[in-house]
This record gives sequence, structure tokens and C-alpha cells, in this order.
Amino acid sequence: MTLQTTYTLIAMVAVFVLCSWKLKSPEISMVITAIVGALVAGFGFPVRLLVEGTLTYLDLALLFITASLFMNFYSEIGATNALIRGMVKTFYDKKWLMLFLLAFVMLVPGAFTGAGSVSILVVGGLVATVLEFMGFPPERRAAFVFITAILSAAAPPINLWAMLMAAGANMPYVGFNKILFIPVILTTIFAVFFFGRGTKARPKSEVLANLPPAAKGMNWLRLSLPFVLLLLLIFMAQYQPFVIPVIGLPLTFMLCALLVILLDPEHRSLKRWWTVATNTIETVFPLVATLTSVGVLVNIMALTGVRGLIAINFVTLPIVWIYVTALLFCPLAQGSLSYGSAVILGVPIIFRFNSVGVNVTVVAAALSLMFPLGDCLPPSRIVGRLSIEKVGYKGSYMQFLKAVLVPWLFLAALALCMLIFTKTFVPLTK
Amino acid sequence: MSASNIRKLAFLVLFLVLAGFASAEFKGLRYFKEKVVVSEAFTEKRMLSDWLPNIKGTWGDTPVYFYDSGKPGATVLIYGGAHPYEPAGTIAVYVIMENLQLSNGRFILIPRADMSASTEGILGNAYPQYLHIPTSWGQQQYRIGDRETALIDQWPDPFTYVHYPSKQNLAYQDLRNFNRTFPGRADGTLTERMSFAFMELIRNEKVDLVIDFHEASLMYPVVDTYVTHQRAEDIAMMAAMYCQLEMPMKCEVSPKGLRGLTHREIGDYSDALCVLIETAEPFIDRVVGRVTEQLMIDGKDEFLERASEKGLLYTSYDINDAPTIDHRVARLLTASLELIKMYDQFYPDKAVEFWYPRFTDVKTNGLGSYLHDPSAADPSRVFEN
Amino acid sequence: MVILQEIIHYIYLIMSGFFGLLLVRALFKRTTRTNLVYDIVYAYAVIPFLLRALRIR
Repeated sequence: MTLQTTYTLIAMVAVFVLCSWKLKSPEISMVITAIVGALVAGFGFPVRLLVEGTLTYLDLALLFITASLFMNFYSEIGATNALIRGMVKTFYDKKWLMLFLLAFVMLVPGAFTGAGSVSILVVGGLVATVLEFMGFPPERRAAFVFITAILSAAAPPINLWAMLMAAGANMPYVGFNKILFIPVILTTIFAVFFFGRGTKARPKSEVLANLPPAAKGMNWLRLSLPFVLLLLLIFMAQYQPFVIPVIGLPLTFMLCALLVILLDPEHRSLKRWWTVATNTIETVFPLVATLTSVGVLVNIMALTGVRGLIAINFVTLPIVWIYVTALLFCPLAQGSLSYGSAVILGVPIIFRFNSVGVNVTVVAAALSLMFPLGDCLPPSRIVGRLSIEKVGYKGSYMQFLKAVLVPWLFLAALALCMLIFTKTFVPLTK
Repeated sequence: MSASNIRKLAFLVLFLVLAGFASAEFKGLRYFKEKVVVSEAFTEKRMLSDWLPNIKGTWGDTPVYFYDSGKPGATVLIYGGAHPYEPAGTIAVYVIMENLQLSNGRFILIPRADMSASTEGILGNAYPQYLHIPTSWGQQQYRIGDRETALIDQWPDPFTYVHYPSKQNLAYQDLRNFNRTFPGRADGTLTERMSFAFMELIRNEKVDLVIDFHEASLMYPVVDTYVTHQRAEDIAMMAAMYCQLEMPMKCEVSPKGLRGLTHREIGDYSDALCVLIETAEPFIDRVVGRVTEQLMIDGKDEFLERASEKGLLYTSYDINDAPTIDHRVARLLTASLELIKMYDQFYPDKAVEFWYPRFTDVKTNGLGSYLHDPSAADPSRVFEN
Repeated sequence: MVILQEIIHYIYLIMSGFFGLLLVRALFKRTTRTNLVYDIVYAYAVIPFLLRALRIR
């Protein structure tokens, strides 16, 4: 079995590389890779499993679509511009304060929803625009958005990787707040200073002159109400869950989008909103297609045993080698399995460390900081792609990765320290 | 129509046709009925919605089978299928339903605790849809389902699940996990209502002992183990000792800080004693190789053997003597049997007198020999789930 | 609360169908990624939305 599964893995990697190169579409490359994997492993053309795979990340796809709709509706009424204008007027002269404010704005949505993509979709465009004024080159803007987005996903109170590992290991999701908060804040501070170094902002007057004038009738109430509703629904779901039904994030964003239509000072026609909606679908499509395709790939990796092959090779390593290779396996697993990485690699590692008497809350926290690092890696690179698309970065993906590298390594080093020197971090779990 | 549009239409039709083939398989599983031939001791079939009417007509409703001797004795509730991707639990309940002999006391048996979850497979895990048990009269077919209630029955998920009433945060999909939603809410989500209906059944029928059948991955510490509420600790500890005559068995007390689980909440929110039983299921370990029905049946996996050699498993594993489906069902049978017998010893005034096959019986005669042919049975004794 | 939850469930099914149909529209009327490869990708990306909307999977 090991030999056949190894052949299958090699065939899949080869097909993925070849297809990505020839077809220039990571989405279809993943599906072709899955089909070839099933064929090589002797499963023929498993229609049910291929179709079933497309549904794996449907909820995430709906989240991407609805969050994008909300923000595009919000921009359509001129609110985003007005918000940027307001921020520039108030904080622009204080560079570092402004940068920390932008980082904070990025951290909040992801921290409370567990999804960095929500941060990017909701405030990523806005943040990127201000960063542009502040003299950030394009790849650094994308990198800033990406790093703060993955930090937001890792930040408490909702860290989905830690939650999935806790669920898999039957441990309560408690004791994670401090141990996640401190490394996230440390990395944020580092990233802000790192990205902000040496940039020269355009003069405030020039920026304000170039910003589109505020839409007629736009005021702070219209600007803030959609976000107030968004935060209200999110906080209610988290802190008053028994007095409201489960609304879910996609419907939350749709309700906010509807509120934007109602608040539109210019009362645009339905036709105009329809155009915005269809444009949004086109913009967000590569991500929807990626999620659909990665689900197919994940399903076939499980079927053929390729998933098991990767997992068993990692978890059977001696503990020292787990330390050495964790920063390779965990991010790569995230790149190919998305949140599945926490269940497939994370849970066995927790049991592994548990068997040698290590505090598993620290281990889960450390791993939950490592997995998001893979969100910019192939084959899926979901958050990486989302960042560059939202920022409008047109350069090479490698250039973007280079820009990300130093804060990436900082977070990686912190996470690795937590994994190795577990005892030191135990007080933070109390 | 332009050539480009014809091409696009062709692709769309092609994929819709493929989706159609897949849909036929999805629907096949959703509406497939498992057959069971109940033993002479059976008295009445009711529905879970009898204890909470608002789940009537939903996929959360499920049959509840009563076996009442009419003589004094404890009421024992045994159920499987809280997590349908652990099918040994359901099959073990079927074996009890088909073979139970009862002189004293009452059994309430529920083979499919989360009916909805049994009608779809897990997304992203490429599970086969069915498993087949060979018998002398042919094959008996059962569903392999999901861990959680199907999304087409309970959607959307929250971004985080806040457990009622403790307010503990759990992973979002656990709001569809039948073994994380106890004690449930009468006006909550479908899974919370199913759990609440179970609680109502337990309270109203004055159940004395609840036994919850599960299977666990071998890399999970709580495997081949009783997990017991602290009020049933003595019974479970003693039962584990008696199990050793046939098979190894461990015992753990339910942690008080981990909410939503049956062994915690049923014990806290009713007078019943509650014990969950886990048996080793190689199929659900994440490190296994090819995910096939064969693996579900014979439990043989090279990767798992490697994990065993490295000391990563929490139970013994030998690929040449792997935990087959027969073995796993057999374990659940003896584990539950010893629990009830021990209950009898602790509460002799409520003793239950009964018989159903145990580990050695199933290992000797094969699982199939305890499943009866529905086509040859008295139709009034054949039920579908 | 139960009825409200049921209504939300149906809103989600409708939402899924609506976005599925928007994707079908985009398959034929999009202005970006107009090559053959993306014809295929758009065509199969529709599947999960429709299967969920029809309450099949």
C-alpha cells in the first residue's frame, strides 16, 4: 500500500505542477490532479466523490461572496471613500498611530469570526488604499494585509485551528486567550514597524485633493450603521447566543448589504445594485473556484491514502524532528488541506505530545500559529490570493512572498519557541 | 447561438449530468432503509418526537424501540448512531434488538440517535456510503454516515458554537454534533432539540442506566474505554474489570469542564447513570491509507501499523488481528452487558434479567449469525430505519 | 425561535441557489477570464451551489 500510495502522490504532484504551468489556472489544475490521483490509485473516475468534494468548502465560498457583496455595496455608495477621507484627516500626520490603527482594524473582524479572509474582504481594500497614500509599495501593501489577516485568524477569542484541535482531542477550548493574544500582538507590533520602516507618505493635502469628494448626503450615521449592525450581530452571536437564532456569517453580511442599500443617500436603482452584484461575482470567482477545487483535491487525497501517507510520515518522526519539520509540514498542510490541516496533522501531534507529558494547550496554540502561515502556499494559497486581489497587486507572487517573509519568520519563530519550550508558556494558559 | 456559447452550454450540461449521477447516489443513501428483525421481547415502537413534538416530520426524528418484560426492574436505554461514521454502535444495537431475551426490567433501544447524520457522508473524507455484513442468507446492508447532523437539515453553522447552557465555546460544527449538544434546548437548533428530546425521554421514562455506543480512532486516548459520569464510576470500574476476562477495557471519568457530552450532561441533568463506550475503529484515524469499505470491515491498515510500532496508538494494534467490524460490535456488546450486570449487583432490587450475545459469541459464530433474514421473518417483526 | 431558524435555513437555500444562478450567468456573460479553461471552471463551480439549493447534499 505504501508503495502504491507513494506513486499516487508523485503522480499527483507531477500533474499539478504540469497543469499549473500549462493551463495557468490553479483551480482546474487541482481538479485534474484529483482525477489523475484517483485513476492512478485504481479508483477509476469516482463521480460521487469528485462532486461531493466540490461541496466541502461551500460555506466558506458563500462567506467570501456575501462579505464581498457587502463591501462592494458599501463602496458603491461612496462610504469607503468617505471613511478613508475621515481617517486621513484625523490620523494621517501620526504615521505609527495610523499604522497601528490600520493593523487593529484588520485584526478585529478575523479575531471574532476566526476567518482572516473576513478581515481582508471587509477592511482589506480600505487599509490597502491608506497604505498606498502612506507610501507603501504594492507588494508591501499586500504583505501587510496578508500578515495582519492571518494574525486576525489566529487571534483570540476565535481561533478555528485551535478549536478544531481541541474538538478532535476532546479538550475544552479554554485557556487559549492569553497564549494566543501575546504572540499575535508581538508579531503585529513587529510587522507594523517592519512594514512601516523607510516609507515616505504623500503630503496630506495632496492625498485629500486626490480623494473623490464625499458623496452628497453622506454622513457618519450612514457610514457607521452597516458596521454597527455587523458588529452587533457578531457580538450577539458570541455573547447572547440563546436569545437570537443562528444567523451565520453569510446572512449577517447580506443583512448588512441590505442596510447599505437602504442607507444609500442617492437611492440607486435596483439595476445598479444588480450590476454591482454581478461584478462582485466575477471578482470573487477565482476564490470560489479555488475553494470548490481544493475540496475535490482534499476528498481524493483522503480516498487514495495520500493524505494518510503525508500525515503518518510526519507524526511518526521523532519529537526532535517534529520540531525541525513542523514549520514545513504544518504550513504545507494548510496550503493543501485548508482547515483540515488542524484535524489531520494537529490532532495526532497533540496526542503525540500528550503522551510525553507536555501541556497540550500550549502545543495546540503553537500549532494554531503555524497553520495560518501556509495560507499563502500552494496549491490553494487562499488568503494569499485574496490579499493580492483585494489590494490590486499585479506583480509576481514570488515578490509578494518575499515581502511577507520576515514577519512570517518572526511568527514562525515565536510558534516554534512555544512548541519547544512549552513549559515556559504554561502560565499563559491559566 | 455563438460557437462560444454552445461550448459553454456543453460544459454546463456535462457537469450537470455528472452532478445528476452523483445526486442519484446521494439520494440513494438519504432514503436507504436499514432493516431489523426484532426479537420476541419487543413490545412497542415509538418515535423520539413523542417526547418533543417540534421534531416530528424532521430528519431529527428517529424510531425508539421498547422491550418491556412487564416485570419490575431497571429501565436501560442503549443507543448507537450518535456519530453514524462509527457504525459498530448502530449495528451493536441492531444485534441487541434482534436477539434480546428479557425476563425482568425494560430496555429502550435506539439504533439511529442522529438519523439526519446517518443519511450523508462526511465532506472531505471520501467515505464509502454503505457497509455490508455477510450472513448465511445474504448480505445485510447498513449506512455509513457523517459525524454531524446533515447541513441540508441544519444550516447555517454559527462562526463559533456556544454551548447551552454553560456558554462554553466549541468548534462551529459541533452545533451539529449530537454528542456536544446535551442537555439540549426545546427551541434550539435541530440537533439541540434532538438532544433535548432524548433528555425528556430519559426523564419521563425514568431511565436508570444510559449506554451510548461509539467508536474511536486508535490515536485517541479514550479508546477501548468506558467514559462514565462520576455517579456511575463504581459500576463502570467494576464492569471494566469483568470485561478483562474477554477483552481489555479501560475506564475514565467524564471531565467536568468539557460540556455538551452525553456522559456529562445526562448525568448532570437527569437521575440516570450514563456511560459512553468507545471501541477502536481504524477507519476513522486520519493517518490511514485508502479509505474503502474493506478498511471499514477488516480494519487492516499499514500506516496504522507503523503508528503502532512507533507507540503512537492508545490500544494494541496488530494488522494480522485487526479490529474487524465483528470484533468492534462484539466489544460493545460485552462492554454494555457487563455494565448492566454490574448495575444489577449495585441495585439488586432493580435487577434486569436478560440475554444477548456477547464478545465470545460473536467472535466464535460471526456477526452475521446474529442478524436475521427480514424476507423470511414475520412481517410484523420487521422494521425499517 | 424554531420557526425563525427554519426561515433562516430556507433563506440560505435560496441564497445558495441565487449565487449558483449568478455563476451560470457569469459563465455566459463574463468579461474577465474568458478563455476555455475558465469556461470549464465556471461550469463545475456551479455544482455545489445548485446541489445545496436543491437540498440534495
